[in-house]
Amino acid sequence: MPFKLWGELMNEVTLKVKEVPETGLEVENITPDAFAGMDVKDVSELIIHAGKKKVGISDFFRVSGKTAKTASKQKITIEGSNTLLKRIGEGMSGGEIKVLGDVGYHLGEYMTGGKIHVSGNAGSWIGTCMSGGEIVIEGNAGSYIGASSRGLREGMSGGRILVLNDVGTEIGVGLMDGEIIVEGAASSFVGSYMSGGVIRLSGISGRIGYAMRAGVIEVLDKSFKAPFYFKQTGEEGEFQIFEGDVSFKGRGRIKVLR
Amino acid sequence: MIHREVTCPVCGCGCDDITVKVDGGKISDIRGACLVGRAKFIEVSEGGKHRIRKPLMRKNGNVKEVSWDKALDEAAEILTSTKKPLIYGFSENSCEAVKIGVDIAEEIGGFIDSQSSHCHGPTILGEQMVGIPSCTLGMVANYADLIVYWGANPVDSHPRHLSRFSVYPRGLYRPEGRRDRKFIVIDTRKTCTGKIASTFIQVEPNKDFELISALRILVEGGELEESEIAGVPVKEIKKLAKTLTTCEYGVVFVGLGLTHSEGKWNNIDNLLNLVRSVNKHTRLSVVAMRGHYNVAGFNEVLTWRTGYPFSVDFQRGYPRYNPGENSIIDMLAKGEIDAMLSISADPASHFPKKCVQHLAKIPLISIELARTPTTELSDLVIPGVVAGMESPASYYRMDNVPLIAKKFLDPPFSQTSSDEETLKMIYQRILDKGK
Amino acid sequence: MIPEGLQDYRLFLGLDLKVVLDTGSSTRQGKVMRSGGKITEGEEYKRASTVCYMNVGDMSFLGVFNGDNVELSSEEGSVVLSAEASSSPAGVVFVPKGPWINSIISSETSQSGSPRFKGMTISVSASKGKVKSVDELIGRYRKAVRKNEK
Repeated sequence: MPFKLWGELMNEVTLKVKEVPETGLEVENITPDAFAGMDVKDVSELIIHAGKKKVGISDFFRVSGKTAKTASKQKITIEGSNTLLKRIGEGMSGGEIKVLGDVGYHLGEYMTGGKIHVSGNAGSWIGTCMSGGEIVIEGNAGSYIGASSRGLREGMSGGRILVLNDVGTEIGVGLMDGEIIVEGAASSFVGSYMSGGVIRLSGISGRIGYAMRAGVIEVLDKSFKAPFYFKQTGEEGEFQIFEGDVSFKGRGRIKVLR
Repeated sequence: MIHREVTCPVCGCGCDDITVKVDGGKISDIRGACLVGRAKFIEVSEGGKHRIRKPLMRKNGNVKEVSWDKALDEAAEILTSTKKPLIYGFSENSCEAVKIGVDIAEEIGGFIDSQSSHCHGPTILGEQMVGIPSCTLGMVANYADLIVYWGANPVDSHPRHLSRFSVYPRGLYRPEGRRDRKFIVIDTRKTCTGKIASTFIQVEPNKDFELISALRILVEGGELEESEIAGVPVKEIKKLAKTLTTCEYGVVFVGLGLTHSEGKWNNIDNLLNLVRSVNKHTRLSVVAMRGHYNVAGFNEVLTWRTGYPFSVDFQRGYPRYNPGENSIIDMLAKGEIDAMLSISADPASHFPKKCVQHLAKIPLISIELARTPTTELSDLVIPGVVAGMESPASYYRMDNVPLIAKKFLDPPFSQTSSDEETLKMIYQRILDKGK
Repeated sequence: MIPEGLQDYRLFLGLDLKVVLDTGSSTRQGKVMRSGGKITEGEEYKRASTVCYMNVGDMSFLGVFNGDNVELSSEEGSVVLSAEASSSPAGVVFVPKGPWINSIISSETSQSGSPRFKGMTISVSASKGKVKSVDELIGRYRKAVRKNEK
């Protein structure tokens, strides 16, 4: 397990998925912040969205457990999750969400604290513009991981995202601070418009560091060749260092394993 | 009767200098249109031999004609009884029709999208991030001394583009026309346009991004150590950088070669940043080669109404925008739409296989002029009216200049005077259901 | 010119080539599209849309001449088109957009909304198959739905 669970100090609410309708469910109310301070009965009646319709959580989940007084002491476990569940953990500030299964898009967007752990695969738009907290995905994740939202240059400003398998494109777009670690490989466009923070990958098959101005991208793949818009500046321990994006007069660093 | 300054309602050129002769309600002569535009005028003129004149409904594999009332009732029923309906198309239709389309999408809590999401959607995404220094086609004809077509092949896609707007016209400050201009084409293969360019640069497929970054390094005063980038010798890249920075008024026409290949909107983002760099030295503009005469109009109207140019989601009662999630290609490929109204569009011809497979499964309504692969998969077909010929139409040309197309013919049926009116009738029935 | 015996030998070997696929507009196709004849003039629509413009060297390698049929395949499926020599560089083919080539185009958009109409790597090989008509193509989609409904 990548981090310890302080289960005995937290109150846990368990949501067992009864079924997920074809329209999918947008569940931005499933956060420790929304549950804390409520009765479990009231939690069951919190609004979630099935397409056009507003429904209660208990329409699609079996709710049980205990709520906590504050978000930081609230744990939520979702059992039987799949890719049709969107917007889990949006804007949360503390506490924990553990997802058993896959998740859809928009996980942990704008979160400022707390932890989210997904045992399966995740979709795209994970941790958009997050400023604190931690997201761990055990499976694969999609695109726009720790990135900015549409129309915004600036992205993640704090926190940590860890993906144990592969990711898609647009990783850490506009990253200002924080950490994104991918133990698998990324597809393309990692660290575009980065101005700080750290991204670590075990491989990449496409473009890297476009318009990067500052920050560090570590590529743990000896066969990786830095693009021509990054100039080699030297070596640091087991890494070769490249600086760029030269075409933007950037001083970002790509570190490649030697 | 002779009608002058009539609009050709086909490609993004939106040529409004066509002359037609109408005899007995039919077009007997056309002057000024290119061979593609001419084909559209002829379709309408030869008694519209391909035209659909009566609504059709398909049930259990059988197609039969139905009354207009029944067709409009059925359309309203399909759109209000499904959970994720989508309104799609409008690129060859009027802004007036788009307005009603937006009304319908909002009322049914569905989605609205157009050809722009999969054509120049990536261009718009790039524009939203960087901004786009642009100009009108009139300014191109009168000022430009450097024309660059990047990933575009206007000889095949916009046949009158070069003669009317870019390379050949004699302009105020370019009285010698072609001789006053440099004409460069950048593409992965030597297209018909590439063959007549002064300079043709062949770039490796999917590597335009690298070429753009290389150009920017040079324009910003840096150096390139490589001998070749993106399949182009660095000597040629240096020449191109010099041409871009030493022109008086340059224009880059961006085509689908950049938006459809790897990188998608990042290619445009990169190009717009390059143009910004060049603008430190001289005046360079970018114009997107919009494929249909009013696809830009769809973006305009949707933006006034919702703040977003395409792929809008009204499920929550307010507009939301996230291309890649709510765009039609992604949603159809994932099977997320359960009903669709397609107007002035042919998704069954132009969408990838997975999307068409899903289209075949869901209730599909099409408002179309003639039989297409989409009408062959539709459950309900409503005859369309040619916007800009049989009904007046406001439209936005590829350079976002608003124009008006005149009506000079009547539709071959009397139940409706325009697609706008057809949509209004559907909208009214939807509102009546809500009461 | 490839001697006939050698052409059959190449076909027998079943050689295939990996190429990059470009799809887009052509005026010939634009004309039939705009005249409303996609179905009612299906033969002309098919003739304008089912050409695979290839590099001469690539055609030589595969043992095909102008007008011979080729099969283009990707993970999505395969389609039979008619080869024509053109100024395409080696390793690049151009096919006019439309339902034929779209039957092998990936709907993957990298979350951008725009699928892989240009730049996909596909295989091309000589084919003794037939080019489908537009009715056959669309009929295939309808049949698949009816089969699933049973």
